[in-house]
Amino acid sequence: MSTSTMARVGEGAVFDDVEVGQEIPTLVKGPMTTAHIMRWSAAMENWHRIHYDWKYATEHDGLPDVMVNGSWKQHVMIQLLTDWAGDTGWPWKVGFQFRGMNVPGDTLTAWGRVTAKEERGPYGVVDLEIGLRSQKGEESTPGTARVVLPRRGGPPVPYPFDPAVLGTA
Amino acid sequence: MSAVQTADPPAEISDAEAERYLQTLIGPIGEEVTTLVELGAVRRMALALGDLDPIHFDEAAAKARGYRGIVAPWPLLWLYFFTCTVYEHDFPFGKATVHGQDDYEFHEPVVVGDQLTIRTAMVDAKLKHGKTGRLGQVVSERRFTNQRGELCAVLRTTLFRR
Repeated sequence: MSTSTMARVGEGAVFDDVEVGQEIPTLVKGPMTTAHIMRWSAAMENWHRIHYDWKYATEHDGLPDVMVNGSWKQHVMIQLLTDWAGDTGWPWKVGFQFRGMNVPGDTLTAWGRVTAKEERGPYGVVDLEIGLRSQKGEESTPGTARVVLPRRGGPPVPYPFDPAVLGTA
Repeated sequence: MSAVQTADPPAEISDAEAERYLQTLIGPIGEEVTTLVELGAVRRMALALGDLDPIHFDEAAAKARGYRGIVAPWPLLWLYFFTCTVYEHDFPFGKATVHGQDDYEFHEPVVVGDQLTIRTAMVDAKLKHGKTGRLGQVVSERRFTNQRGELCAVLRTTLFRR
């Protein structure tokens, strides 16, 4: 397998600058409308009626409204990480739990906070707590992420990303 | 003389039977599927997200930043989840299935023109007892590999049956 070694130019986070407890820049989406949800469902070919059929969602399933897609919410949090890591870092792992619903009218803020950092070979591994907060302050999608970053003056994180490049802990 | 016969509701199966059933779910699910990553699908998804990074729709911009081609937003994996894999499971117990958690690992960007192969397997299935009673927990895993043999991503989806 080949490994890409070209220069990647996007401005991304540098491991040396990261501090435990640091908040990374947030990403705000919304207010969500039914058009956003319909468009996303079509792009996903996800035809579950709770995402576009108000009568079905509210009367059959007893939901408060049509639902913002879980996969869309995940993307906002993945975009939060890819924006932060830039082209030189690599969001490696990310996981989410679905704890709450979001509906049209919600404005959602993806946020992340650094919980740990560790030098690994020529790179650095950063763990984050991440979440998606509504305008009411409700967290719907708590999760964690592990992002690999370059060190100052060091090489960009190569991909295909193979954890072996980190050496042993 | 007639007696009104009322059907008993189906008896819930025992914990041991539920555990045996869950164990039968472990292993590959369906055949592996290979599909083309289309420009239209990638562009439609990026616009639906409002993710306007040009690497998602401008080939020259993507290549200038070192990618093999136009980069698919990661949730494009869900398109293939819905269109190429079995994602609903029948359970002989409980009333409702809840999508509880997703975990991703990312290794290589998926780009337009890739032939993506998806292999699905149930990797964990167990019975738990929580505050709300008996809970089945199953974890299915989808591994996405490109035509160069590179593992692009792994998506693990946890469903709860209660």
